[in-house]
Amino acid sequence: MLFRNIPVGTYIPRDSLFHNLQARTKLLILVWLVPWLIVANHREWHFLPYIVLVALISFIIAFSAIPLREVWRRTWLIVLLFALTAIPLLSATDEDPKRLTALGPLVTTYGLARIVLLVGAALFAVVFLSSRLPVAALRTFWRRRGIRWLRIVSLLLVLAACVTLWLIGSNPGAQALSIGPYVITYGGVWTLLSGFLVLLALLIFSMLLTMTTSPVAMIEGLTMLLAPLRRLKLPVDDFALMSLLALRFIPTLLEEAEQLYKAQASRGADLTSGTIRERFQSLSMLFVPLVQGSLRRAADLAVALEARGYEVEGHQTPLHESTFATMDYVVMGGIFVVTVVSLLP
Amino acid sequence: MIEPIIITHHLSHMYSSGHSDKFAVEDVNLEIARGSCAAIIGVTGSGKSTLIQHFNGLLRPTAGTVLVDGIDVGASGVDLRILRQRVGMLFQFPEAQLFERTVFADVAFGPRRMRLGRHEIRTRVLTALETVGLPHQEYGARSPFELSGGQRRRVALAGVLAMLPRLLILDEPTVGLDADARSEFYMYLRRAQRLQGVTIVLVSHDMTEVASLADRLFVLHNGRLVMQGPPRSLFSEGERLRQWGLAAPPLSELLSLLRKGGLAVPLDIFTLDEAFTWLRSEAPIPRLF
Repeated sequence: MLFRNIPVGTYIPRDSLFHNLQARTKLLILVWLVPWLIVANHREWHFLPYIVLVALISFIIAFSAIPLREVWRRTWLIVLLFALTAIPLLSATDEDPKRLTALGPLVTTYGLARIVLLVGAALFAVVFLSSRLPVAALRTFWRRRGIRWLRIVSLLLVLAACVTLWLIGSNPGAQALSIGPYVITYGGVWTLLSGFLVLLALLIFSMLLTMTTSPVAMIEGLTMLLAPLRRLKLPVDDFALMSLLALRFIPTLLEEAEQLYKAQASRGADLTSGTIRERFQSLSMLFVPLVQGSLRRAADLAVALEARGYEVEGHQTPLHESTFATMDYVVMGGIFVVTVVSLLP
Repeated sequence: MIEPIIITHHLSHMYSSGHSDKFAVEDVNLEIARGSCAAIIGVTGSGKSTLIQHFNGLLRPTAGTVLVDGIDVGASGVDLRILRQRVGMLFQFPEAQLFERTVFADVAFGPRRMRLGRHEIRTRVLTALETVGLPHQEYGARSPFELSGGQRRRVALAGVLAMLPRLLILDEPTVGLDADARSEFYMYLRRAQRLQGVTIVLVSHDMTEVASLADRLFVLHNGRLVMQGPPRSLFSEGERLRQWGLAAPPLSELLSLLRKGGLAVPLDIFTLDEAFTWLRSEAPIPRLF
């Protein structure tokens, strides 16, 4: 189906310890982790908080019954980005310029460098071209999931090699070329490690939060945490109602959009074919009825709410009261104690 | 004999929703004759909508084949635009799909997408609007959003008819209409069939409604084709229909009750008029009342 692959609700229903915790508990833990990590980041080469952090995240993954593969699928891009930023970051000198180790300098000649670049460019060009050849065996090979990115990477590498060749092309072949030295500093290593761990941990934790908490429970938890703001005349209940209604109507809207898409496709409006102008027109014929339908639905909903005695000024109470269980207190207390202790020298 | 417009051969369709795989349509073999009016009937969730979505390529069969007007829908590389021009489809609540500013523009959308000439488009739109009883002089320049529900539905029908399909598929076309609008809609549909000679496939959960229009009924239950035949023969088997969650029209039910009560009612009586003629010609009326 068309709209089935949109990752709107990444909630994965399971029966696990972390699933059964209150949404409030999980939100409080997330909120507590941030100041704790900020404090921990102030002391260099104090590894205990980070060890605790990694252990904590591993425990949570282990107790959330979410397969590691799912976690990896959502984090590999961040890991890749960090690997790329590591190259300039490792030689950063502004925090602690003390030299940890140095690579190089690598001394060679322009002639050799040019040969290496040429061979490399030719190699990657062959790899890239092989993906375009109409050979059945190659086709099936390139259609495999893990392989596709190789095509783009090889094309980029070919381009990079060509640019470098053009830059050093005018130098005489026998002239010496020194690459490096590449200095790795203590400050660089620390910034990379701590920054990487903190970002990854927060990402994984908030991801696990949405994966193990149903959206409705999440909104309810958030409303309960925000309840004190009612004293300041902030519209906490309205916020809760609006978010819950919005969540409730996402699947309905998707279903309607799919139905409309089919209806319009039957009239010859296919988003995947036609000129650009026709495709824009097809989009409009999807969205005009969709918006119109949503407005009608919203009006109906308002009438239905009022018919059931909903008042804007009134105070709403939840149908199912959710209270902290022993496990919530145990987990919160445990995490609090462990994190505070890890900050001590 | 003319070749049937739709032939399905061991057609199956499976929905896989992450956790479980479910057959929505399983091993269906049917043929629908060119120029006829067929009705596909079944309770909610019996696979009717899934089945008809194969007829214009919105879904591809998981197994088996579907031939529509000589085009194999399941084959790779099928030109779906050609198929969809030949097969018009009207979904439930089709009035929701109207989007243009005027009735004329909305009906003209399909023909425009077929890249026809201006005059051809105009003729087709005028004819289609005339067929559904919304003459252009009166309705063409109005916004579809200011029409009544029944009228908007007929605009949607005109939008499909203007593409001059050879096959017209309607998925529960009268849901949510009142009795008058309902019979009006069927009247215009019959007119369209007469004028354009289009083959019609109706989907419904109510047999009474489609009985007067359809030449042949197909009963689906849990994705399987359980009964088929002309309405007359199907309606005389009220017991079996009830087994599939359906009810024969009240008249047929009444007649079969009379038969059970010992009255020799012929099996081929089907419409109210036929019943009256028979009653007049037979003596037992005084005894009944």
